[in-house]
Amino acid sequence: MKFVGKAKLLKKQIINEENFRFVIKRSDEMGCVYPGQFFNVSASKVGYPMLKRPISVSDVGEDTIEFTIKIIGEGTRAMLDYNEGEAVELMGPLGNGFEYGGYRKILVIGGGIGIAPLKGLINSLKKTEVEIHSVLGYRDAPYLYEDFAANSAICEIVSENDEQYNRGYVTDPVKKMLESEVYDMIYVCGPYPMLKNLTDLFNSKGFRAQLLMEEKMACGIGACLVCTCKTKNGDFGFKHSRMCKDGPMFYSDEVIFDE
Amino acid sequence: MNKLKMKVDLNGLTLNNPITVASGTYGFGREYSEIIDLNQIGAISVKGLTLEPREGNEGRRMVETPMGMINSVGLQNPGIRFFIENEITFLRQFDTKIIANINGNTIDEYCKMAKILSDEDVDSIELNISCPNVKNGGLAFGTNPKIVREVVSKVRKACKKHLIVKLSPNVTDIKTIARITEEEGADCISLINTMAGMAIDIHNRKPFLKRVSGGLSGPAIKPIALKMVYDVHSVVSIPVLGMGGISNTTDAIEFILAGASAVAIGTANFSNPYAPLEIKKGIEDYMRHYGHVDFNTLIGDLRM
Ligand SMILES: Cc1cc2nc3c(=O)[nH]c(=O)nc-3n(C[C@H](O)[C@H](O)[C@H](O)COP(=O)(O)OP(=O)(O)OC[C@H]3O[C@@H](n4cnc5c(N)ncnc54)[C@H](O)[C@@H]3O)c2cc1C
Ligand SMILES: Cc1cc2nc3c(=O)[nH]c(=O)nc-3n(C[C@H](O)[C@H](O)[C@H](O)COP(=O)(O)O)c2cc1C
Ligand code: FES
Repeated sequence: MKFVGKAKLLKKQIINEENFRFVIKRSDEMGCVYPGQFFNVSASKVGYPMLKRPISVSDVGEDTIEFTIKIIGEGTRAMLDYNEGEAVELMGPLGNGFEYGGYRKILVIGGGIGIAPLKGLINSLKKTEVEIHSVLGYRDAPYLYEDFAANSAICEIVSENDEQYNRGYVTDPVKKMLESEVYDMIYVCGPYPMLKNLTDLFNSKGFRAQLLMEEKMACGIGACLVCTCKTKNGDFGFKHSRMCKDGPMFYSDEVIFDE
Repeated sequence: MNKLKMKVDLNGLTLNNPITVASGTYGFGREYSEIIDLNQIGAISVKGLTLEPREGNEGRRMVETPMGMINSVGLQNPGIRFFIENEITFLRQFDTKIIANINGNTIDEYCKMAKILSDEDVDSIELNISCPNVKNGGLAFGTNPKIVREVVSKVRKACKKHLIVKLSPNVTDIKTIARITEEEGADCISLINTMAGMAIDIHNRKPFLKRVSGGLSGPAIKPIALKMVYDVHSVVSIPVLGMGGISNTTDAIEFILAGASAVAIGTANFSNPYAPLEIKKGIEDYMRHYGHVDFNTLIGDLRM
């Protein structure tokens, strides 16, 4: 089921200089909303920028959905101008999210705003009996880590610039954890170089992970083919899958990364 | 309330109403059929087809620019055979006309495709002459009047269906091209395709698109498209299917007054999937407001 229309902004919350949170009224017409899925959200009331912005659900409540948004450019900055109580035009839920049934022990790895959709994932898991290990990477001071800290057996935080934490990239702790632990599934969301480096690591060790990926989008539903992800197989030895419709979740052994 | 007559004849292709959707923006209708009722749309021009399947361009394919977007999809499509075997029956469930948009590397390829599709259940063939001509250094077929004459005349002979020729706006004199198209037997002209454009990331000093440039569409090109539709309508007597940035009722009516017998909605579908239906209703309201019973009386009704 896809909802196309307006939904009320119940709560707008500033997280820090770069990030904010929207809590949106969830309507029945949206049907089930799964972690890893996204909505195409209008950046402004006036129709500029023209294209909707894809934003992952970072949590799903009884009758709410949450977005966590990082200010990147014109569109995400414009979103900040919505006021509580106003209607936000959006479309969704879209795409294939995470697959998570039946796993007992999982590793989630998030970088920056990529942590947001993983938060939705672990919050839909915590009731069941899953052992969660988390590795979260930041450029500066950590945010969005609370739910991970509260629900994970191990929660490693690294930061490139914040001296209070282990300095460096997520790959360092991940390497160590993969040596001593066995996971039923690994989930990753973050910037492209992080996905690429981790995938190289997984491939060399024979692990398989679910990657939540990103590309510029227009239609958001699979019709226009501007949002491709290069994947294996297909008539040409590779295939241009649609990020919005076939993804945004792809398995690490399906994706072909650009140099 | 008066019953309005919305049917329009594009010189052998009769649409239930003048609202169509533009090639490449609607796939084969499957995705949008989950959102809107395709029976309400006059025609669907399907994703540009090629003789063989194509995976399209690598790397980043889209950059948004002020009130527009530049795409470089590179004609990714499953090929004409797959279309025939898998997509036509799906589209036939709906009471809408099927326009097969064809794209070739050579004139021969265009002709082959026109021939194959002539025996299939499509309502019209749209010849996209904005493709790069492999034999002519990759310059688009549609930019050279001599080549336009050659490709249209040959495809006309190979094509037993209603034939639309879709013009490229990247030309100095659209009127000459349009006249040639009519002379060589096109049943209808559609325009405009996207305009060549580019955008640069000033921080890494690289073009945003891996292929450097692409096709600009959306409201940014609307005034240019409108002028071209007006110009073409003034020199040909075959019907014109107008497009280029149409996003709302006002835009659509401008094109119709400038001479378009029908309009296509492209990029606007991305921001508003209901755009075709809203525009259709908007045109009906406009007709009632100004006392038109037959849509056809609105076409080209520009007052100077
Ligand atoms: C499936 C999916 C889920 C997503 N989920 C989330 C989410 O949950 N939260 C979230 O915050 N984001 C998410 N994103 C990313 C989000 O959609 C983008 O950050 C957003 O679309 C950016 O829009 P914008 O207009 O703010 O930036 P844009 O203007 O599109 O800019 C994007 C980038 O290009 C750069 N740029 C733009 N123009 C120029 C220029 N002229 N020169 C140099 N650089 C330039 C910007 O600095 C920026 O780095 C998701 C994306 C996808 C595909
Ligand atoms: C993503 C995209 C893909 C397109 N693919 C095709 C195509 O395959 N064949 C074609 O004739 N036109 C193609 N077009 C051009 C459109 O059909 C249309 O002529 C153009 O976008 C102008 O209309 P608009 O501004 O309303 O989108 C494409 C446009 C877009 C945006
Ligand atoms: S955004 Fe149109 S196919 Fe993905």
